[in-house]
Amino acid sequence: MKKLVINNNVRKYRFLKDEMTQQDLAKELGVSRQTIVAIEKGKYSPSLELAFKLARVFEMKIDDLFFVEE
Amino acid sequence: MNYGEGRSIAELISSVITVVVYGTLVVLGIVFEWFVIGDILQFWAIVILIFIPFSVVVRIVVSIVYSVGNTVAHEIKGEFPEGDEIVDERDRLIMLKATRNSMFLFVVGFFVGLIFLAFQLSPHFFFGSIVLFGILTDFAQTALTIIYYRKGV
Repeated sequence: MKKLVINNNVRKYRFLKDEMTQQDLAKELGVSRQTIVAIEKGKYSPSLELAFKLARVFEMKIDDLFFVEE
Repeated sequence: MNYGEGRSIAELISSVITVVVYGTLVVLGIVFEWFVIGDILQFWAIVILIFIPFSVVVRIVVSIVYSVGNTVAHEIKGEFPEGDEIVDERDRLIMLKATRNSMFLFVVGFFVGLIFLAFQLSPHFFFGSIVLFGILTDFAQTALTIIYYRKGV
């Protein structure tokens, strides 16, 4: 089965949320800033729990934030 | 270089210090005959039993030095990267993958040791191969951790 490439709009919605910094987002989620950097660059797919936390911070559905790249 | 990579490099340095210092002490002990034990199993048991707490102490000292050095370096630069030292799910995943993959080397070392025993070579070869591959496993774990931090996991 072909591996799915999961991408996200975290960077875009972070800027739309009063230009929130990576540091602030990391603090709110209880992770390191490097983890936010890795998620934004697509180098790390977060756990379901962290993905839901991210969606909650940006007040949107999880599939608006994360999507499968064809 | 982020905090996780720096911590891995500090661990690598502590591994090198441990191996070089402890290895030198054991060799000197054998050469100058103040560490001579006739029984091979007893010799290796003592060598390994002392090695474990020695490496733990060196690792603790190096990690303290790294944390202090890292804080001082940031203060000099005037940066205060709050929360960088947090160990989160990504760090734990990287540690797990690096440990799992590097453990293959240790298994190889164990099999090589068993082959030595099967060919009736001295048990020194068996223990030597286990220690050597154990050290290589440690190095590989650090290298893999850095690779996973840089390339993603």
